[in-house]
Amino acid sequence: MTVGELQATPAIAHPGESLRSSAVVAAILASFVGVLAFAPNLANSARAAWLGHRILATHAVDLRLGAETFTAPGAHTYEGWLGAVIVALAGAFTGGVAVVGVAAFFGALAVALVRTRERGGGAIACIAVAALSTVAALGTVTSPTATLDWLLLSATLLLVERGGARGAYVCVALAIVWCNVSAQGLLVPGILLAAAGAARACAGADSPRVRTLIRAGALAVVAMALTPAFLGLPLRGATYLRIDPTFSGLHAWQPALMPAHAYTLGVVGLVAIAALFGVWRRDRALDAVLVVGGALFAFLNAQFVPEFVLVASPIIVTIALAALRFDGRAFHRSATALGFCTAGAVALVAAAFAPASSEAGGATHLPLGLVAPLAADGRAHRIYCASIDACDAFVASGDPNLRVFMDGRDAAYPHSVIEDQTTIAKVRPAWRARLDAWKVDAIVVRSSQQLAEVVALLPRIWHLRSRDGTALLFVRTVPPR
Amino acid sequence: MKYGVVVPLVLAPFFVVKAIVYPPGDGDLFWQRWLGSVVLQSHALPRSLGNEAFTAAGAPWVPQEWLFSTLLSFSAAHGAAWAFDAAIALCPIVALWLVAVRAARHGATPLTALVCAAFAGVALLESFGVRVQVAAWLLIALFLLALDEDGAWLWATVPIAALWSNLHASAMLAPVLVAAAAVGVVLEDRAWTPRLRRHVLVAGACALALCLNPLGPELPRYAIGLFSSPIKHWIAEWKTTDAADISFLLGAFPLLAIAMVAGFGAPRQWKQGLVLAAFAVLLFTAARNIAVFGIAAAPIVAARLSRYLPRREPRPLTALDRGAQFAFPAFALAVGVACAVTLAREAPPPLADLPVQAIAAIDAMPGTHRLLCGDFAWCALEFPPDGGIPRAQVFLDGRADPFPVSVWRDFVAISLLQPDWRQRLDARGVNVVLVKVDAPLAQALALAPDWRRAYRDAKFLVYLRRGDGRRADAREVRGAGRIAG
Repeated sequence: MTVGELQATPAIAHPGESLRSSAVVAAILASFVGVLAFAPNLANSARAAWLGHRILATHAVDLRLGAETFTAPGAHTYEGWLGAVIVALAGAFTGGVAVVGVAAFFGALAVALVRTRERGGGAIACIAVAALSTVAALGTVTSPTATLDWLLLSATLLLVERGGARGAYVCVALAIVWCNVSAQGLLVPGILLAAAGAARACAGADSPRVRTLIRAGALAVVAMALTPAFLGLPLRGATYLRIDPTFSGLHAWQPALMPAHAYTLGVVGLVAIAALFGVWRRDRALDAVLVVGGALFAFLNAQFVPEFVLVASPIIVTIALAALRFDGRAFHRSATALGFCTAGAVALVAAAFAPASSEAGGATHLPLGLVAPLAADGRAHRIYCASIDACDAFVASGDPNLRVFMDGRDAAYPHSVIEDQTTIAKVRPAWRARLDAWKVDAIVVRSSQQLAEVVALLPRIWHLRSRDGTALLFVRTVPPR
Repeated sequence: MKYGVVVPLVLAPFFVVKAIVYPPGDGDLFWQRWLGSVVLQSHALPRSLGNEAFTAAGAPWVPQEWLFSTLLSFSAAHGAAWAFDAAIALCPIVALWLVAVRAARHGATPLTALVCAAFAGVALLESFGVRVQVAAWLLIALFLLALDEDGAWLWATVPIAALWSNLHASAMLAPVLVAAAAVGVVLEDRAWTPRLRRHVLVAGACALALCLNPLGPELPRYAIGLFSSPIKHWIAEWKTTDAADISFLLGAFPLLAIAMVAGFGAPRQWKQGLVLAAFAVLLFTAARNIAVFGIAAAPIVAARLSRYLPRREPRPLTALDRGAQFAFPAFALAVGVACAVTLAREAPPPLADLPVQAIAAIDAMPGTHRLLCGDFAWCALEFPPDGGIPRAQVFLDGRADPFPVSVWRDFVAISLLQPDWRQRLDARGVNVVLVKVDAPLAQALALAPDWRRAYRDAKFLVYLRRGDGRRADAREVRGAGRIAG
């Protein structure tokens, strides 16, 4: 077999539609910016920016939690250093605006790549489905790292599906970059090896393409170790990918955290359509693997819903259009109208659902105002945050006197600490004993959380020191028992 | 079909043991038995909540479970509760057998039918109990068997829908499913054929059949209202399905994954496809639908999977084959019995997970009680099995649906310690709270100056508002009725 035969099916060109769908992508980009600007959830970005600044300042990557936490200093951690540096650099220019812009750009580009992955026409339909589904989840994902994950996933799939042998090897390079951006880079070897298996199933025998994909997959496995964490990343893959069932007690990991509309828009419709028509095609076994695998990830952790949509929408939409005997090229005639309808629908979904998504994400804004009184007294504090994202703000402040119980790097913390975090946040028996045992002297909690109500019932021990929006700061007035 | 009985046989002992030996998982059976007694005594269905619910006395009530409740009460009153439990256990067993029957009729190989029925069995396990929904599983399986037909047998769906409507409001699915099938027939026939006419007429007849019960048109009205009711957000069974549900991950998801690959129907076979697509959407609306999806999807998925697997040419049966036809199911039954015996030995004591003693302690306390239960289903334990008047009035109980949304909002605000939870407790005049020891509300009440603990056992606590139940003020009651010093 020649190299030419290794090439997967080329994209079917529809110049008119391509041009118009580019306009749609631009409109979607604008909608993404709007969503992110009006419903920002910047807690994760703040911590990532702090990490990025530290890396830029020290020219070193910390692989252990530092003194910013008092429960687990020295615990192994891994956050993509490259992603953190990107966030830091983006924030260095114009602060939050640039972070939002970069995140939106990555997100829109990821959706745009969906257009190039569709086959058989209907690019705008694919974009519409992908954009409508991903925008609903945007309120919970403002970090450029998260939307960069979407982009790298789209790019990897495009290379595997259409890049031939060269594309497979480019994926290896992509895996190295991606693993340094975030733990989701661990998906690359899986995708390459799945593609190899699918190609083997299609051909019924070994072929140069199968061997190429296996070699690229093996190299990608090695690439997983080419990060500052070396084997630490692949060995704790399930944890870093947030699909480790042992973390199920942690609120941020609960599968149903994603707001219902994002789940419904993103998963249920696509899965029902896939089940109705079936995605199996003898010459495209990879499609079936991607759809089923993507759905499994989405069900294991709803944070993977956007990824599932990006993976599956070009496959499922194309098959649905074919089953309905709908010629994708029929979109040509009304592409502009469809384009504007799509952009309008995306904006509508954004306006309707983004605030709810942001609320579901847990932290609508950073409790920065709470930091000031604690920082001003010049004393060391041990702070407990009922929502771990809130503690990111304290970590990001870089003040050595503000040490936190647990922050958003949840995968790094020992199970005993996570158990205590959950016990206190959910006001289980012994919650006070846990606070005393860890010598916590400040609690940050939203007024709507259970802990706020019970702490307020202990005014002699916990004094309400300050308030920032819905965030409350209680300070201990009596030393722990 | 020859191995179709294997899965029901393996699981049958489990279902029987779980139904008869194991205690009920929640308090629903208590109010259902109470309802049944009321029906048997008055020969009429109550249509509104009484004074037993102090937050919603007089609120309209559609007691959709009336038939189940009446049979439960009748059997319990005649010392045959075990027979009722066994009958409920039979429902999933027969439903799984019908899965195998349908799979064979759709052309599934014995192997794929066995595998898919096993997935369906797993999908049933988590939801199983002596519950009205479980009885509905059998009717759903029967309904789908009839819906597979295109001829006169299709009309069998109508009496099944009528019976179903007397059992559970999920009967609302009946006309929806026939309508989906009719749309499928439209897409398949693309003309007004006798087949299409029959499906349309049957859909209409099924819609009318929903009214063939003592509740009449109130039942479909209630079911439609429930579909958009906000109270679903606060009931665990209505939560969105996800991988945290083992029955989904190991039962429904494999079936769904196979369907995503192979499809629900052959190309241009829209009828089956649309019916099952409806079940797929249903699967994600609430975790309680996982089992229903398993029953509906397994036969079709098995048939579709069979098309992709190599099929052996039929050959004459040997003596060994004939022996295997009996030996294999017998072995399966033996394995099931062995597992069930083990399970029965490990069964917890009756009512171990329910606050029976705590409720008895509340009833023994002097004064008039307005009781809030941390799990609203526990409050049903207050309802006397003979249909009498409960000793304490309850805030919210397992009947759930008829309580106004405002009551639900207050309940959730109090249970989850949302801001102003104490004001809501005061405004509703609650003076007794029953909670689990690890509930946040228990922690908060322990710190609240106007509440005191009046009872405790290993699992439950009772708090009394200070000033109520004066004679019990001085001491706390401990579990098993012992008085603490």
